[in-house]
Amino acid sequence: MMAAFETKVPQQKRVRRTEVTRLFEVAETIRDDALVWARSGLGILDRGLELEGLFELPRFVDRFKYCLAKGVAESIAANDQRVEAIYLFDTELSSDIETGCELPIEVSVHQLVLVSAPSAALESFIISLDRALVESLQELPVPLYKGREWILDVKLITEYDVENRIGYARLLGSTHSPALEIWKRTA
Amino acid sequence: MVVNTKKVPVKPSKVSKPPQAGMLGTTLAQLERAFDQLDLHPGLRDVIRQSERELTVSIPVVRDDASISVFTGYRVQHSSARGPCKGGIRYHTIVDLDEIRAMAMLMTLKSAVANVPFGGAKGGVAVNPAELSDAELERLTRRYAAMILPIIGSKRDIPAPDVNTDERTMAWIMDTVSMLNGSMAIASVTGKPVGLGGSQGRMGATGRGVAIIVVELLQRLGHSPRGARVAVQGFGKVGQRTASILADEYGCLLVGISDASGGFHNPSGLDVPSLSAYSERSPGRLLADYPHGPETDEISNAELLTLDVDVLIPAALEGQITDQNAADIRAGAIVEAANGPTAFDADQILRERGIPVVPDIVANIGGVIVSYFEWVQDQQSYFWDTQEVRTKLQTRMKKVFEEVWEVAEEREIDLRSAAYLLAVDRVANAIQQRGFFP
Repeated sequence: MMAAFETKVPQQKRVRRTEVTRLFEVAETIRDDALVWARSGLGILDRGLELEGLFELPRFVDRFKYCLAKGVAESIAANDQRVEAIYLFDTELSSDIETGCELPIEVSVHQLVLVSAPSAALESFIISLDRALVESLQELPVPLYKGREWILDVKLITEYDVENRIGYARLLGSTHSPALEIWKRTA
Repeated sequence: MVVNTKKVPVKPSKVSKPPQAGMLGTTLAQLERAFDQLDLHPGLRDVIRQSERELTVSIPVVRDDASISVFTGYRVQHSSARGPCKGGIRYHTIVDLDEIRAMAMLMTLKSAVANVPFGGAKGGVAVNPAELSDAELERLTRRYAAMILPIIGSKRDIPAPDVNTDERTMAWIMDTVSMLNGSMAIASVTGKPVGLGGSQGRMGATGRGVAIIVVELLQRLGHSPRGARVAVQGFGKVGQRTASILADEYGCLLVGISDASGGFHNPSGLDVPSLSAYSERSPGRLLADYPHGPETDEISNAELLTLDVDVLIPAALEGQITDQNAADIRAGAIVEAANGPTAFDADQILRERGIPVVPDIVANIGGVIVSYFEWVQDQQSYFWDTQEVRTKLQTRMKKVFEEVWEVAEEREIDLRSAAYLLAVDRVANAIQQRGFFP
C-alpha cells in the first residue's frame, strides 16, 4: 500500500540537538544555492532585482523551488540507502487546460520519494529537514514564507505502488500531469 | 450521422480492458468502440488511427556557458480533415513520439466534440525546462519554432501551451514565426498574452466551462441548479473556479470540497468565498486548517468521493475514481473536470450502476473553445471583452452538451461513448466529404 505522509503535521523532535544544528546548516546551504542558481537563470533585466522583487516573479520562484527540491532530494537520498529515486510533481500541471495563472504563487515543494521500503527513520528525517528549511526560508526578507509551518509535501511510494498505479505513484506514468525525476540512485 | 446510421444496442456495453495502461489506453479503447458503434469502414478506421504527419527535429542550443546541447523535439499532426491542426506544445523529459502521437489524436477528438473547425496536433521537446536559464529556454523555443515552421501557421497548425509551457513560450513562437515570415503572424499560436492578441476570458475558461456543463446536466436530470448539492475534489485553478461559479452564479450548494491536504463537508453548504480567500493566502494554497464551524466535518479525499450529492466533480489528478471505490460512489452524476479522473474499470462499474458521467473531453474543453475564440479574434483583428467571451463560451458549451446528450439518448449509450462516437463521426464525415487526394 502507499505509504504517504504530509510534513505539515507537527511532530516531536526526534533527532539529537547536534543533528538539528547540522540540518539547519544543510537547509541554509540548500536555500543559498537555490537563490544563486535561480537568479543566475533570469534575463539580464531581472537579475538586478532585490530579493523582494525576485520573489514576485513566478519564473524566479519556479526556479528557486526547483533548486530547493533538488537540494532536498540529495539530502534525503544521502540519508537513506532505501531511497531509489525522487520526483517532483505539480498538482496544477495538466494538459490542454488553458486557464493561465491567476492564483497566487505556490511555494510548496511536492515530491514523490520512491523507496525500497518505507521507514519511520526516513519520515523523521524529512520532517526535521522540513522544519530546518522553513526556519531558513523565514529568514528571507519576503512575505511568501511568513507564517509557514511546512514547505515539503513528501509522499513515500514503493515499486508496488508504481506498478499498480496506486495513489500519487500513478503520476510517474501520467500523460496529463507527469512527475519529473530529479534524482536517481545509480549502481 | 452520414457515415453510418445503423443503430447498435450497447447498453451496458462490454469492452475489453485496454491493452495500454492509463489514459492513452482508455482513449484508444474508446476510439475502437466508437468505430464499432459506427460500423465504420475499415479503411476509414485506418486513416483515423494514423497520424497525418510527424516531424522529429534535433534542436541545437548554445548554452550560457558556450557549450552546445541537442534536444529532440516533435510535432505530430493527427488530422487536418476538419480544419487546421491544433494542439499544445509540452516541455518535459518524458516526451516521446508515442505519447505525442496519442495526445495529437486526442486533440482531434476534442476539437471534433467541441465542433470547432480544427483538427488535432501535439508537439513537445524532451527537455527539463527547469534546468535551462531564461535565455536558453528562449533560444530552445525559437529554434524549435523555426524547425517546425514548415508545417505550422494559422491555416496549417496552431500550437498552444501545454505542460511546462505558457503564454511567454507562445509569444516567443509567434514572434519567431513573424520574423521568419516577414509579417505579423498573430494567429499562428493561441494562449498568448492579452497584449499580443491573446483572448480575454482565457483564464478560468476551463472552470467556467465545467460549471456550465454541471448546470446543463442538472437540468437534464430534472434538478434545479439552485440548491443542488455539489462536491468538488480539487481546489486548484479549475476546481476553485468551478465551485465559485456554481455557488455564486447558479446558487448550487457546495457541500463537499477537498484538496491534497484533506477536505470539508457541510450538508447545509460551505462558504465558497471564505474557502477561496483562505486558500489563496494559505501555505501551499491548501485548505488545511481552514477555520470552520461545528456543523462542518473534516473529511478525507476518499470520503469526499463517496458523499451523497447530486453532482460529484473530480477536478484534481487523474485516476481518482477506481474499481476500488466506484461501487461506493453515491453521487447522482459525475462531471469530469480533471483529465482522466475515472479509471477504465471504474467507468464500467459506474455505467452498470447507471450513474451518468460527463467525460473530460466534454466537461473540460472550455479552454480549447476559448483557444478557438482567440484564433478567430486574431484572424479578424477585432477583440472581444470578457463578457462577450463568456457569453459565447456558454453558448458553445451548452451546444456541446446538448449534442452529446442527444447522441447518448438516440443510441442508448453512456455519455462518454456518445462523445467519442460524435467526435469520430464528425472526423470520418469530413474525411469522406473531402475525398482522397489525388
